Amino acid sequence: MAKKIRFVGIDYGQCYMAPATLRNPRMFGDIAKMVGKQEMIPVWVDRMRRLKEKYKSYSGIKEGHKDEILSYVLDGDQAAMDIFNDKEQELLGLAPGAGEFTVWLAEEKGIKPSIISELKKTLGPVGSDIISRFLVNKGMVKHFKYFITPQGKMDLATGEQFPEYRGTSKEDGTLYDLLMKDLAAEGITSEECCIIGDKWSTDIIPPKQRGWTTIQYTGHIHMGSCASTDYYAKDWFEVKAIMETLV
Amino acid sequence: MADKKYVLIKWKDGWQEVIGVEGDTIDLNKYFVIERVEYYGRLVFDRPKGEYPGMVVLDRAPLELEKVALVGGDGDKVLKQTSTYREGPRLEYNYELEKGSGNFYGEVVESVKKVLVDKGISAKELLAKAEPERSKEIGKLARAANILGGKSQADLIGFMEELLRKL
Repeated sequence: MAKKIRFVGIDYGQCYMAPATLRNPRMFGDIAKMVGKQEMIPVWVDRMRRLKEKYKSYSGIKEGHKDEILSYVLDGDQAAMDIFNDKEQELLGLAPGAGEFTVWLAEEKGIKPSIISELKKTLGPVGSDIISRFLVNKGMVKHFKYFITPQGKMDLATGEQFPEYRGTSKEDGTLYDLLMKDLAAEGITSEECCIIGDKWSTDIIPPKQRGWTTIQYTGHIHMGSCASTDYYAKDWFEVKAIMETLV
Repeated sequence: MADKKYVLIKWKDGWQEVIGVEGDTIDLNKYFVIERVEYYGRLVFDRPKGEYPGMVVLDRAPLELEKVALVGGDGDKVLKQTSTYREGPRLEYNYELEKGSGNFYGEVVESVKKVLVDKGISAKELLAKAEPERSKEIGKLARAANILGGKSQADLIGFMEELLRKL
């Protein structure tokens, strides 16, 4: 009989977090109205679209080039940028069923999941980066154990940081290798680990190569089927149904 | 650098257009089409007999509208979705504008009054300020009272000046 899952890792972008409501016309429309520059709405939307073409994806902009939203898109309007940062948090939502799943897993099953996500900026205190701030704002942070990134691992309850994760990568698997060492110290083996994510190259293939159970989240980005995927879920209600058989 | 370059575009039905682009444009890069459901609300107004109806298009979360009120009109109207109507690819969500029990305009007036008190300034003092300071301060007051210009800041300032004059 397969061992029961004791460690659950969750990818953040387009997986736990749903950006569907974060649309440029809404975002820049609200900002322009708040700073009284309604005539700039189409200009800012157009520039944001151009910026996306430069960096290929919105996450690419957010992770490494957010300063250009201020300098290029918003003409250096710091008040507008401050609103952007607040609105970004406000308009990002939990993926359908993600909150219910997290509470169930943590409270009923006693497994606090960990966020395993790319983060380009240096890790600061809990709530200072976009991901842990999202967890705080959505009231979910207390149900999570660690925030694990190539910038370091952080205990979300205490804020303690483990810098040895700096320089690791999800894609080349070094982050998972180090994580396995940590988990081994807690007596957790690879067969007792599960990850939920949407990208093969970072969330599915490297963990599967290390013996993890993999759930491919298809609710936002559906990359198609993958030989390294054990289960597919289009929302977190389906993730919960799968997890009920694993824990 | 030339001020502008031009791109020529031809459709399959023979339609041709020219569009000006940046003068430093080097080459075509790519073309892509996005298919996505978009929602646009259309708020329609009665006008005097013989005039065409008034209309404003709302593109901010149109399905989440709660209530509307024409200032100086018949009070609040709450929206109740009553039916949908499909015509080809177009789907309409139709609402009834039911008389509401609240006083939306009154709520805004009260919010403005509260902010004036918090800021320690009277409506008269604010209206007596010279431009552009006056519009700037009125804009700040409105934002603090949670009311924004939907289409232009001039609409907001105009509305606020009218409101402040009545206080």
